[in-house]
Amino acid sequence: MYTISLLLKPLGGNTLPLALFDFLTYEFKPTAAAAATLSILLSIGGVALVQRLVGLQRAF
Amino acid sequence: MTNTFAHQRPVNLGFGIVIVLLYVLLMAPLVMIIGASFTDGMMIDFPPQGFSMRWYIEFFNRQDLVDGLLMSLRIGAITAVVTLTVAMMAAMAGQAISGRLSGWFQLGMMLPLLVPELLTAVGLLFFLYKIELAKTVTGLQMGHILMSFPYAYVSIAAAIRQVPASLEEASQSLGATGWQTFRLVILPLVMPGLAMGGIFAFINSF
Repeated sequence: MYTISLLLKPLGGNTLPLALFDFLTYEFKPTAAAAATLSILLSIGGVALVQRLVGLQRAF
Repeated sequence: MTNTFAHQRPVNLGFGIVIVLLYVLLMAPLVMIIGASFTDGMMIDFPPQGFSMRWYIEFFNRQDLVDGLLMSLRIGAITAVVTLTVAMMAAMAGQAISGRLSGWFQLGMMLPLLVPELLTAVGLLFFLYKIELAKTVTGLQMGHILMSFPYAYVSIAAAIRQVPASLEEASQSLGATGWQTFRLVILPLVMPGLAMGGIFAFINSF
C-alpha cells in the first residue's frame, strides 16, 4: 500500500505511513513510536469490534 | 503403542521451538515499538527509560502527523465500505458464472495481488493524469480500493461458496423475491465473511 500511497498522494496531503516516513527522515523521536502504537491499536480495535459484532471464528 | 510414537517427541519439541521463535519474530517489533512509545527519554529505545505519555501529546500536537492520521482513517473507512459493496457483487457474480469462464473470472479478480504494486501504481498514475484526477484524494482513494479489493473478494467468495444452493432454491420456491432471498438468506450467512473482508480492506488500506 505504501507504494500506491506514495505515487498517488494528493498535493499537500499525506497518509499516516507517508507522514511518519517524512517525520523520521529529519527527526528520530519516540513520537514515531507513539504514532505506530496508535495505528496498531486502531487495527486491533477494528478486529475487536468485528469480533464483538459478528464473531470472527465463524469466518474460518 | 507408546514405543512406536516415542521417536516423535524430539520432533514435537523441535516444532514447539520453531513456533515459539516464529511468535517472538512476529511479536518482537510490536512489543518493542509499543514499549518505546512510553519512554521518558529523548530517543526511541527499548527497554524504555521511565514512563511518560508525553510523546502521545507531542504526536497530537504535530499538525502533519495528525493530518496524516485523519486522512488514513478517512480513506480506510471509505475503502472498506466501497470495497465490500463491490466485492460482494463480484463474489456473487463469480458464484453465478460456471465452467471455464469462472477460473478466468477468479484470476481477474485477483490481478491487483498478482501484478507488482509498483506497476499498478505507475499505471494508475498515468490513467489518473488522463482523467485529471491525479494528485487528488479521489485518485488516492481509487488506488486504495483497487489494492484492497482482492482481500475482500477472497474472504467474501469463500463465504458465499459455503452457502448451499438448495437454500437459495428453497427460498425462491417459497415465493421470496430475488431481493428478499439476498437480504434474508444469503446476507446473514455471508456476514462473517463480509466482516472479515471489511477488516482486511480497512487494515490493508490503513
